[in-house]
Amino acid sequence: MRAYLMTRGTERRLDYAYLGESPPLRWWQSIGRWLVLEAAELVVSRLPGGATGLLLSGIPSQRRDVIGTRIRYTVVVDDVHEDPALADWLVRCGLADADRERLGQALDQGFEPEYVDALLRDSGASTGDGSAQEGLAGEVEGRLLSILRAGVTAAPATSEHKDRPGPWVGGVQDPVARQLFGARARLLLGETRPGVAFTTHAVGSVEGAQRAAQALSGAVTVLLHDSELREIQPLRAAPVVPSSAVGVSGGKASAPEIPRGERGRWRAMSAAAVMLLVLVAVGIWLLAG
Amino acid sequence: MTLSFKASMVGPSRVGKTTLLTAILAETETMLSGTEIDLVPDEETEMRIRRNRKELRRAIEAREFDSASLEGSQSMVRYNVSLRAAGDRVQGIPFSILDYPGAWLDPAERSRRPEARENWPECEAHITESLMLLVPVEAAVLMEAVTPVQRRAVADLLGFEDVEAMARKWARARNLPEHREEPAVLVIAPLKCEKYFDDNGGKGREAPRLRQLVREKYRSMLDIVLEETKNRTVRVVYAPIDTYGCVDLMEGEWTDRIDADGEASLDFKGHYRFREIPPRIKVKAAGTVMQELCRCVISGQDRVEQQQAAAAKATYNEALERKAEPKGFWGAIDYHLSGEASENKSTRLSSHKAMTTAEGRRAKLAESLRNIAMTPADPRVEEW
Amino acid sequence: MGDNEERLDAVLRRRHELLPVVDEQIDRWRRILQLTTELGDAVAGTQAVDPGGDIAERLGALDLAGMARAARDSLDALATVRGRVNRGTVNIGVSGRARNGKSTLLQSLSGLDDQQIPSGRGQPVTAVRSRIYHSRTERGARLTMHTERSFLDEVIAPYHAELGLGPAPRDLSAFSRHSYPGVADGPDGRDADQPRLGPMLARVREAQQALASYREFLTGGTRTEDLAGIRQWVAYPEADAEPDRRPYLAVRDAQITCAFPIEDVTALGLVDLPGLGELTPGAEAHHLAGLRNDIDFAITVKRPTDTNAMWAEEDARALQLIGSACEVADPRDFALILVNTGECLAENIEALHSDLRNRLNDPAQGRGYWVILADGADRDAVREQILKPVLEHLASVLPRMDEAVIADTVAVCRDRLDRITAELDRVSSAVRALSVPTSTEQTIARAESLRAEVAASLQEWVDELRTRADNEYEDTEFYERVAEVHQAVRDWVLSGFGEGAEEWQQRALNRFRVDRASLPFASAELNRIRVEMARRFAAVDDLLLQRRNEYWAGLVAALGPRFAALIDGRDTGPQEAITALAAVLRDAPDPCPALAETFGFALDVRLDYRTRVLPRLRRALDVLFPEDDDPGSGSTATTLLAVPRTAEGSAELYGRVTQLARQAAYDAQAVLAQEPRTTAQVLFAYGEQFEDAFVRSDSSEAEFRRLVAAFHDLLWPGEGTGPHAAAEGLRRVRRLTTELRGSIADERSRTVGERKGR
Repeated sequence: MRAYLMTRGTERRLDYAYLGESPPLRWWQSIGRWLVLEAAELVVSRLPGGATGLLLSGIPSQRRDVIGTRIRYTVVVDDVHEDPALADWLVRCGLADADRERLGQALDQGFEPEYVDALLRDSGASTGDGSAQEGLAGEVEGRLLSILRAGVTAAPATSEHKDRPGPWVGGVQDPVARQLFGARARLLLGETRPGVAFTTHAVGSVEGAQRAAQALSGAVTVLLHDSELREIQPLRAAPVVPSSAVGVSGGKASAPEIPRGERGRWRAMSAAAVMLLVLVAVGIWLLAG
Repeated sequence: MTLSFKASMVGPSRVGKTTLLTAILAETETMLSGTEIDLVPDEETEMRIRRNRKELRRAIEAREFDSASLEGSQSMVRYNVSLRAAGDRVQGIPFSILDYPGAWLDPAERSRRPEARENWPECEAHITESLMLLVPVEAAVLMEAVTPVQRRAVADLLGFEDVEAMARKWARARNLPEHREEPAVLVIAPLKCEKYFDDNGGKGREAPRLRQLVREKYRSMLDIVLEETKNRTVRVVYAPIDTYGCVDLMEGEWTDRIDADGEASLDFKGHYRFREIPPRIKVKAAGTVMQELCRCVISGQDRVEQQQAAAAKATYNEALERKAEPKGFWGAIDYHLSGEASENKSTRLSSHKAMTTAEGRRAKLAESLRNIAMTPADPRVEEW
Repeated sequence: MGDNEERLDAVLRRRHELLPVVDEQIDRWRRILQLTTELGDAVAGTQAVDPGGDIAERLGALDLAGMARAARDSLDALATVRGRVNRGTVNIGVSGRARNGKSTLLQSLSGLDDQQIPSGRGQPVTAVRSRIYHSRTERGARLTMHTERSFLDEVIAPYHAELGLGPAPRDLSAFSRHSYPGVADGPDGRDADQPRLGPMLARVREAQQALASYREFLTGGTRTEDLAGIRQWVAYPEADAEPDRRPYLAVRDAQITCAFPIEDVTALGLVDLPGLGELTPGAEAHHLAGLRNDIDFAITVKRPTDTNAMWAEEDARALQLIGSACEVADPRDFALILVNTGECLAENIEALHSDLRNRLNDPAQGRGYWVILADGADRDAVREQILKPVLEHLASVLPRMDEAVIADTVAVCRDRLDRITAELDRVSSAVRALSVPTSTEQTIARAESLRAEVAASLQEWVDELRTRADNEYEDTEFYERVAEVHQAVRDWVLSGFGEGAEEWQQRALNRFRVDRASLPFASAELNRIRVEMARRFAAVDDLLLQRRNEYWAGLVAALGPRFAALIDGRDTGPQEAITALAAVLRDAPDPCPALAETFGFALDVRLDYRTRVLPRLRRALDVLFPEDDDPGSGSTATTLLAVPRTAEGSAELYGRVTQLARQAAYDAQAVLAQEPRTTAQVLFAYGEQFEDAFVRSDSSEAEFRRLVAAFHDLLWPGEGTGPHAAAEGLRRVRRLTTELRGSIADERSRTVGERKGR
């Protein structure tokens, strides 16, 4: 499991950037156009290769930039499934303002303004000293993980909810949708089927969500931040297009750069993944029925 | 790349670009009122604008106006809007305005930001095809810098380096043989100008000083553009815009900071107050941007027609032949204004009636485009 | 006799006519003397300022004291002539040792008696030198008194000298306390002198004892006395008189006017010459000096008594002395020896007469002295045998004597003129060999160098002003001051405009209720705040005035030490210094009005808050006007001020008024923050204009020359010595040489002219 933290410094030029190391793979790139990372978004993703990722943006800091705007954090955790409790807590933070606020405070405590500014300044003036950079990155990650984990112990246990099978869209103000979204997130992380669940400020309609679902593959769950949607609506799954890369990939946007070695493995697994998806859907339908 | 008419925006973060866009759309809608044409953003754009409007509303409702409550964008954003005839849900004349962090221009900065690295080719392609380069300027930074230290901080605060680099890139692209016949307009848009004008509810009389300062400070950018466009002309438009219209700069606060070179410098923060109660947003001169874009389209279309009429299609054909398929500006003109789009669509509809309706809409659209382009410019706006 | 009168009157008339001519000549010679003295000083000056220099070397060889001496000789000669021609009477001096009948002769000649001219036998002789003038109408005496000083110097000091008593007393008190010895020792302590010195000592002791009696008369003034009471003023007291009463000691000179017992002479004077070789020390020299110009003829009286029947050595010496008083005339035309025959034995008379014939008037030597034998007491005899022949003689010889005196003087003058000319030629040739720039050349060169010097330093100063006017120049002090004032105003605003937020709101609420509206209160407050703010921002005035003062100080410094020297000794501020400079230039002997005006211009810099800042600052405060000037524009300000008449409303109003005030304060400080640059630009412009006007205007060159000419010594104070001063000295020598040559030529032509005219 790897964790990454993005934020900005107080000074004007210390713009948003990762402290220490950046995530090697921007796995959320394919859904980037449906994310407003300035706002509070949550993305939980299971990649066809089995890797998982969680992105939590818009975590408010008490720090303000030079012109007085509140600074935000974005946390990215790769292979978050390795620590289900942590994943669970982060998902809750993504869905509840109060929890996100609390996480922000914890981050503020672990990353003092001077420390953040110093880190960003140093990365600006890259020293070229690789080992020193690594050491720094390790320190950032260590701090970040301990802050995130500290939140877990403080978190109350959450009740189990069952997943709603198939792609769907809901509104964030709908408690049911929120709970089902949590369940979907846990499912994505707990099992191996690829899929993605995300909240969005960039889309406000079922049609928009549908466009996203069409563009993406796998189990897509969309929670709209800014909509009048009162209940969950099913989405049509993306047609299986053999020629294009299957999985979490953008339609119009070019596919993320994937190392050549991985591509074959990805393809091989996609067929199995579709099969699995169908099976699970049928199973859930039977159970629900 | 879709067949849209493109523009690029470059300016330091937090200058109020989203707010500017909101203002542009609002004023364009005002210009279109009474016509059967709408300005329709795509959903992502609309959501961003909606967020911005919500924030604005919140800011307006607060007792004190706090422009800092408006979020800045932290990544590349493409604002897509279309001029569309009422009832036509699909077709229209699409415009796409790109906004991205200025820091991305710097290869070193890009190398440290995976997102920048990944998005840069797309950015570059957009910039290359942009008819318009929109340069928002935080007027208060220019105007309120009175002491030498403050004045020295201006270049950094307004991101001259990035802006100039961008202007060079854009101008160079405009000068390329394949874009040389396309329109090119550079819009310098000072924002947050309320205090300096007396034509929108304020008492300021400093418009001349603002103009002079902009001219002075952006002289080198203009020189760069001139230098890079030796084989063509570029229209330069100065458009000081009120995005709020109901606020006055109350106090400017200069705070100490360390600049990129490690030198002590200053940062600027404006504190605003409402100049009337209840405050009402009164956008001013923002429509210029849309007008200028429409002018570009109209002039492109006129050019095509002239060339066709004169049977002097060499340039036009050449432009087409250079590409395997019609794309870019001429492609968009062809597709959206010369009937190709509606023909394609009417083939699908396959009914005479539908075809007639589509043709009517196309005519209306073209007419409204022309109307927007021909609407007299705001008195504040000047062509340089 | 009538013939004599006419001839003598003609002599006097002729003399009188000569007086203005002589006076003019004296004036010319005085001028020559002055120029020779100055020339001497100038030459000496060149030695002093640059001892080793070329100029000093060449001029050092010249002796100019001879020139001055020559001029003095001429003046001496002319003075003698003047004394002669200036006299309105023909004067006859009467000389003779004590008890030879001099006084008796004077009585006979003048018709006075013992009371006016004491003659008692065995009595002390005349104490005071007297002149007696014949007048048919007037009668009286005019006494000129000693001052304390002249008394001590002329009466007492000679006794001290003669008696070897050391320096005379300082003043009368010292004289009165002075302890005189009982017996005179004399300077050499020789007893041989005792007979001569004893009476002298007795005289000075008498003078001391009687001091109280004449002290009050030592006034230096003159008094007129009736002839009846004249005796005490002119003679020793008679034996029976009070011994300590001696007012005659206070008299310096007595002039008696009375009718002589003669008919046909109008302008005749008698001069009582003291007995030469007489007792009073220094008398000879004193009287001879006066005698030289005072008398036309001298009568020496000698009474042949038993002990005094021979022409003694003293007599011969006295006669010689008299003769020397008239060096140009033959002494035998000038003097008469009267053998006073009264009360004398015939053999004594004969003895003397014979002695005179044989020893004085040696027949072998041609013409001898005129000797008359007569009784001095016999008035008729005196008139007929002495006066008449004397007058007759004078009538014939005086014109000749006068001519001789004048001719001699002319010769002396010509000779001295030649000597001076010769000396002057030597000076000229020495000076010609030396080449230094002319004074004008030097002034021009100096003016140019001064102008260049000032131009350079003004340029530096203007460059400094330019630097300050540059966009990038950081007047930190000013910005800090502005920030300070802004902060103070802001604090005042945020503290509820000095009264506290709650108090303000409460007051607002109270007024809302009274007015039943919020606008009146809000308007009144905005007006008050506006006025107060303008007042508070005036605090930067001190810095503006300081900048102006710095500007002046910079200007004064740039003008350099030479200009500072023009107003040296005035330890004042720069403004006063410039004012003083302007005054100096304006009031110079040759005024420099254009330069003075540029100083006036420099002083006219207006940089105060009221003229410079306030107009723009007022615009910044416009936001505090409760209503727009243009009511048609839809008063947005009013919407801010109309609030509910509640506590919430007053709090809202407070917030909004505070915001307006903050904006006004902020805009005002922005105006002020631009001020250093504007100020610096103004000062730069002023400085540039000053420099242009001062150094490069049309009149600048000319006025710098005037300035240098008028104030050279102040501008180059260190140049009292050295080659430059020597050159200046040389120029002075040249100038004086030329002037002196002119005077000499003038004198020569006049003298020639006079001779021709004669």
